[in-house]
Amino acid sequence: MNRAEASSRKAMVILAADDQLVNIMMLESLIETQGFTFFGVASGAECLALAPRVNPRLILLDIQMPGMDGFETCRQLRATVALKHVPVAFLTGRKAAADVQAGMAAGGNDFIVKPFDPDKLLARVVHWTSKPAATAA
Amino acid sequence: MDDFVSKPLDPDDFLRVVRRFVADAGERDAAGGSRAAPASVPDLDDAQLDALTRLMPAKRLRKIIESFLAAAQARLQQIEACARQGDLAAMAREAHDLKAVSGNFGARRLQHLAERLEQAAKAHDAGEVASLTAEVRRASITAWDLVARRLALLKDADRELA
Repeated sequence: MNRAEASSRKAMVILAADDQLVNIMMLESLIETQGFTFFGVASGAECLALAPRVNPRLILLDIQMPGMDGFETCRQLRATVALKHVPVAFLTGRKAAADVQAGMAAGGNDFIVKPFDPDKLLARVVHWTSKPAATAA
Repeated sequence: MDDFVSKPLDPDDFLRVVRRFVADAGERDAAGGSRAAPASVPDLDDAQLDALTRLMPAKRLRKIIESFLAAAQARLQQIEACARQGDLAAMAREAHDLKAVSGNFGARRLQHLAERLEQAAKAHDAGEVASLTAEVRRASITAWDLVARRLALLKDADRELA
């Protein structure tokens, strides 16, 4: 990673919602070590509250969370003009075809199954952040 | 749950508790036998922890492993409480979380058993839930021990650098 790349990564925010603190700590360490800026929250409601303020380049959403689940969180993100086009990847222990379909129907862009291979997770993060920043419609 | 370690985690305390669990589990296995997960599923997938070791500073990994070990005990406690109360819906959620968290730390056998436990709870198979809960306890203890050993290696590496 050269200096320009490092500085551009630092400017990119990855936001993750997962009710398991240890999962958030794992994501934080992996993603920050790659030079990105990371915010972690423990619920869908917190994700909806924080997302408009931090201008994320990628949102990682657990599905099974107390209160609002990841699908509903994604639907509400998609209903927010400024967040409509931000890539959303579900990061979840669910892997049934019906879950993947529900995730895509809710407006998700990617589906990463937990437990994850750390290198593959980072490859997905790099993939989504390499795309031009989403602009509000 | 017979014992616990308070947070913040003291690794020495933790290892003391793990060793006692291991000794207890050994006695139970000798007395009652054990229905194992397939032999092809390893207790610990070293490749997963190797990848984490390569991808993040040792200090960070140490902190995460300590947090995993502390959370893992609470999770086992929850699962056993769900089993006692026959709360299969809550059991399915707990087992689902355990599957992901343990797998992220390479505890493959525990991940595999947690997945089976989640399915059994969803299928309302109380007998299978009871027997898998016991297996999850044994696999948890083994996994904690192995992960704690990796933690000790990280600490040794730190001391050599210092």
